Order: sequence, then structure tokens, then C-alpha cells
Amino acid sequence: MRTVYKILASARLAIFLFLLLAATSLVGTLIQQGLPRERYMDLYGPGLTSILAWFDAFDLYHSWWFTALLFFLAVNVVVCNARRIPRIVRQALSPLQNGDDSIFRSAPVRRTLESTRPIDEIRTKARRLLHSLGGEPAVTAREGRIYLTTQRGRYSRLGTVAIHGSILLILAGGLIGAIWGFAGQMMITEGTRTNTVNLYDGGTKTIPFEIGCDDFSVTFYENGMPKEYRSDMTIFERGGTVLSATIRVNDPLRYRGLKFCQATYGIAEASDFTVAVHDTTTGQEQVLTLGLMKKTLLPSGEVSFAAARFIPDFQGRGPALLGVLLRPGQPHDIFWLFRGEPVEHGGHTFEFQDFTARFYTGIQVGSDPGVPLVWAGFILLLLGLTVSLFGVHRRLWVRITPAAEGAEIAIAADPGKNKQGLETRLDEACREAFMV
Amino acid sequence: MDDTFLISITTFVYFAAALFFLIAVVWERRGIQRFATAVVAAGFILHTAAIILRWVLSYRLGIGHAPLSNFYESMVFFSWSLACVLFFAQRRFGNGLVGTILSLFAFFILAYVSLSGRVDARIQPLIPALQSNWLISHVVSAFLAYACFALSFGAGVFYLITAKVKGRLTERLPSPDFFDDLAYRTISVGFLLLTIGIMTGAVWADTAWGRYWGWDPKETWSLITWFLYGAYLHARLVRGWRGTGMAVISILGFVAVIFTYLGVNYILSGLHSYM
Repeated sequence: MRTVYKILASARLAIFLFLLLAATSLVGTLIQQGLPRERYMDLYGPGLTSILAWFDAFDLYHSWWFTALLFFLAVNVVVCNARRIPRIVRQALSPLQNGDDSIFRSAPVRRTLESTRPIDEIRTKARRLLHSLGGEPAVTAREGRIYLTTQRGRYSRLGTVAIHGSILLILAGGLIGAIWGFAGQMMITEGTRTNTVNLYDGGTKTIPFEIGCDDFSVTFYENGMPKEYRSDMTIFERGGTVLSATIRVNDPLRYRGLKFCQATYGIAEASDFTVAVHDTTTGQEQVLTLGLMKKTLLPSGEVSFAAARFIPDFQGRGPALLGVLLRPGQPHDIFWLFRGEPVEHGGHTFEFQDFTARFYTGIQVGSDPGVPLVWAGFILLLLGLTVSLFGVHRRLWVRITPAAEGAEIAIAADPGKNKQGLETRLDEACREAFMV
Repeated sequence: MDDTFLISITTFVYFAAALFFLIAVVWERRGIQRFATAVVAAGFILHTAAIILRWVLSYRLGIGHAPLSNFYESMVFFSWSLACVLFFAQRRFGNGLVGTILSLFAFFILAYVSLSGRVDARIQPLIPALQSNWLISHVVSAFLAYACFALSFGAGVFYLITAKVKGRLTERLPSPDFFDDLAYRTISVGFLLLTIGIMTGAVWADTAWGRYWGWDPKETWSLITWFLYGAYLHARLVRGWRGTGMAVISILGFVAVIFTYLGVNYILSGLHSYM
């Protein structure tokens, strides 16, 4: 039991966990997470796939063992700090004790000087010296000796308490989010509404109100890069309209503790396909507006044309229409038409020009009750790191022992940080004060 | 005048500064070192002017945004961050090798983007995901952190050189202790900045993607980097480790930084594919 406690309380464990978390997180970036099982079969073969699956390597960051590592980190933080905090708080809050002579043998910085000046003058100079390095000193006298002590920046010791507390807050926030939060997507076609969320973990969830998409639009810059994805949404509750709002990327809608973010979009339905038909023999041109699976007689009077199928994005080449040319006594001629790319078939040139789309918008929906804790942890972590980084707890002690002529002056200092800097300044101050 | 022209001049100025810093170190001349710092300052003014000019030009094109949105702009800003850290570090640590390391880094980065011809330097509009007030604070804190870690990487390398190689040249260099201390101090500052970078990223991700953390490769690699430097700081502050092991972690940490910045974009796929 004592050994377990000792291990949990050690900074070695913290270092080990940091490196282990780094290494395992790295593995998770090398193996793509959350793909369908068949993709892994293709990538790794059945043997390796089942081994990796046993280690939860395809959902590594939510696996039991990764969670266990984070749990150990939390326990390590608690135990490690429980042992150290009382001393840290004491050092940060209590005034500096003087009179313990051992400090003049053990402090990281020590100086001994002799002066032949009168005691009162030495004391004044020592006071001034400490004042310049750490603030007004406390002066006491005991057994014929004079002790002066001062310190500054003692509150910076609390920085480490804030840092480790903040890590616990962030981990707790993550845990609360994992237990009581949810996230998923809603696919809402323009003109429809729904209250069903498709959860990322699988399954669905019904939210207590309906959300509808009035209009979705995507705009592009001149060079073709997307400029704005915009969904105009309305929320319906108990049969009535509650509010209308626009959701854009970086501009989510918050309602009743849920957050709605613009995530994706697509074409739900397309109609009114326009196809320009050019008769290469007569030179006649006509623009047809077609529905799917309805044939239209071309002006020549013999040949008919029909659109059989529409694909919003054909293998990354954009929208495509499957055209069918029906000629009496001949087999059908079937070919793909890509928007803006004319093709020639059976004495005609066909160009798929445009279509009317009905979009669906993909809205990411989620609620995470752990977020406030995480934000609080962030602020605390920032404060703690800043205080620890820029704050210095510097402590100084002076003992004046009267001698036959003048006195012996012993100086001890704990610089906190930057030992060399303090030594330089101390030696300079000593030279100035006591001319040694 | 075009901002990329100013950047190409800056490239040569940083190269000259690196040479002067090196001369100052080898011949131990304080005067040359001060001159080298002045050369970097001149380059830094040009560099800053180029960034402001690009910012203005983007508004003239009607697609105004801070020039922090693609690979070219991020590299230019990385180099700017290195020069920025150079002034603080040179003042704080005094030795000209600090200036040499940082101005060489700043030079190589600019040389790659402005001379290799492989980097698209056109001003592009801002895609929806980047249209956020968090863009500037997130990118600035992240790259200042990267710049600090570049210096600690240099310090780690020079620690190993000065501790393991004894020769006439290494006698002119500061002691291994100097580099050990340099690495520790720059990692402390870098760690704070990296933490700010991760936090601003998390807050931004929460509004853009609806979650503050999603184990996206860029997020994960920034955390790996954070863990490595966290391990470094604990080893140093709590266990009092020094020397070779620490130098190795400061080198590995920077490898993780480079992977976070570039590897994720070129080797792995994820949401940050625009940088």
C-alpha cells in the first residue's frame, strides 16, 4: 500500500504518463480513427485488424485504457499535490521566520562580511540592502545578535496549485461532457423540419423542439473558393414559431442549452434540368427543360431524349446527368453529361446547362455541460502558468553578530529563480553598502 | 510594390545578420554583435512592413483579412515570430549564438517561401472556417511558441555539441550549462504560449465545429507537443534533471512542433488542412 502511494505521489509517474500519453496519442494519429470496419480490413488485413480492434485502436481516444491513463494522470495530480500543497500554502501565506541559524549554512546563496563600522550604522545599511533586494525587512534581536529578513513574490508559489487544479477542472469537464453531453448531426432539407438527431455514437435522439430549414445557400469568391455557407433556420415549439435565425460557420445558434453549428450541406433533390440540344445536320438549337425519366421528342421528329439519373457530384467532377437517346429500331444510346461539357451523340450535341436544386443542410447539434468547467480550467491554467513563469519567490536573511570591533555580517538568500542574477546584484549591493 | 518583393529583401538581410552574429561569436566581438542586432532590426522593419502591406493589399482586392491564412502567410509569420523572439532572447542571454540560431531559422524559412518557387504566394480569400475573431490570437500565440521552441531546439543541439565535443571552436562557445539554462527558459515561455495557442484553438473550435476538442490530428499533435514539454518542465523543476536527457527532449519537442505544423498537413489528413 505504501509503495502504491509512493508511486502515485511521484513526479516520475507524471513524467512517465506524459510521455506515454504522447506516444499513444501519436499512434492514434497514424491509424485513422472511426472508419468503417471494411476499410480497416482493406488497409490491414483481417488478422491485424482484429488485433488492433482488440486494443480499441480505431477509437483509441475513447478506449478504456486511454481513459485509464487520463484517470491515472488525475490521481497522480491529486496525490502529488496533496503532499506538497500544505507546505506551498504555508510558504506563500506565512511571514518569513527568522532566527534559525541553520539557514546561514544551508541557503543556496551565502555571503559573510566583516565591517568595522558602528553597529547602528551596519544595521541601517543592512536594512537598506534588504530593502533594495526584497522589500522592507523585519528586524529582531536575540542573544545579542540582530536578525533581518525579507521576502517578495511569495504568492507566486500558488501558481503551481492553480496549474494542477486547472488540469483537474479540465479533466472533470471532459468527463462530465462524455457522460451527460451528446453530439450528432441533423440533415434538414429546405422546407422541412425535424427533431431527430443522428448521434455520432450511433442511434438517434429526439430533442424537445423542432428545427426547420427555410433556405440554404452557398456563395463563392471569384476564384471559386467557398465564401459563405448559410442556413436560415426556424425553431418550432408547441406548434408555434419560436425564433428564426441564420447559422453560418463560426456563427452557431444556441437554444435551450443546445448548440447548432453549420457542418455540411448537399443536394436533396434536383429538378428542371436544362439541356441544350444542337442538331448538327440542320443547325437547329433548342434548350430542353427536363424532369427525370420523361422523354422529349427532339425537333427532327424521330429521336427522343430523356434524363434517366442525376448525381449531384460524380466522382468529384461535379453534377452529372445520365442521358438516354432513343432512336426507333436502334438500341438506346446512354451517356453521362457533365455540366458545361458538350458531347456529341447520334447527330446531336448535348450540353447539360443547369438544374434547380433543393438543398439539405447538415447541422451539427450538441450539448456539453462540461464546457463551463473547461473554460474555468483554461483561465486558471493561464493564471497559474503566468504567475509561475514570471513570479519569483525571493527570500533573504541577514544576521549581524557584534565583534570586538564592528561586526560580522552573514547573508543568506534563496533566490527562487535566477541564482546568478541575484548573486550579481547582491555582491554589487554589498560592495556599495560595506565597501568590500 | 508587392509584399513578396519586400520579403525577398528581408531574406537577404536576415542572412547577413546571421553571418554577422556568427562572426561576432567566433571572433568574440561585442561591437559586431550589436551591429548584427541592428541588421536584424532593419530586416524586422521590412518584414513588418511587408505583412502590413499584404494586409492592406488584401483589402484592396476586396477580400480583406489578416495575412495569416495559408501556407505562405504562415511561414512568413513564423519567420517574423523568430525575429521577434530574437530581440527578447538576445537582450536576456547576451550571447551572439542566440542571434545566430534565430536569424538562421528566420532566413531559411523566408528563403524557402520566397526563393524556392514552390510556395503559392498569391493573396487568397478567407474560407468560411477561418472567418473568425479567434484567427489572429490563435495563430500569433502558436507561432510565437514555435519560435521559442526553435531556440530551445538550437540550445539542445549546442548543449550536445559543447558537452560532447572538445575542440578549439567549442572553446569559443558558451558552456553547456548556458545552453541547458537557455533551453529551460525558452521552453518555459514557449509552453505558456503553446498553452494559449491550444486554448484559443479550443474556444474557436467550440464555435466553429461545435466541440472544443475532437482529437483531430492537428489538435492531437499540439497535445503531444504539450505533453513532451510538460514532461521536460516536470523533469527539470521537480526532479532537477539536467544535461543530455533534457537536451534530447528539447530536440524531440521541436520535432513534434514541426510535425504539428507541417507533418499533419502533408502526411496526415484533418480539419486543419488549410494550415
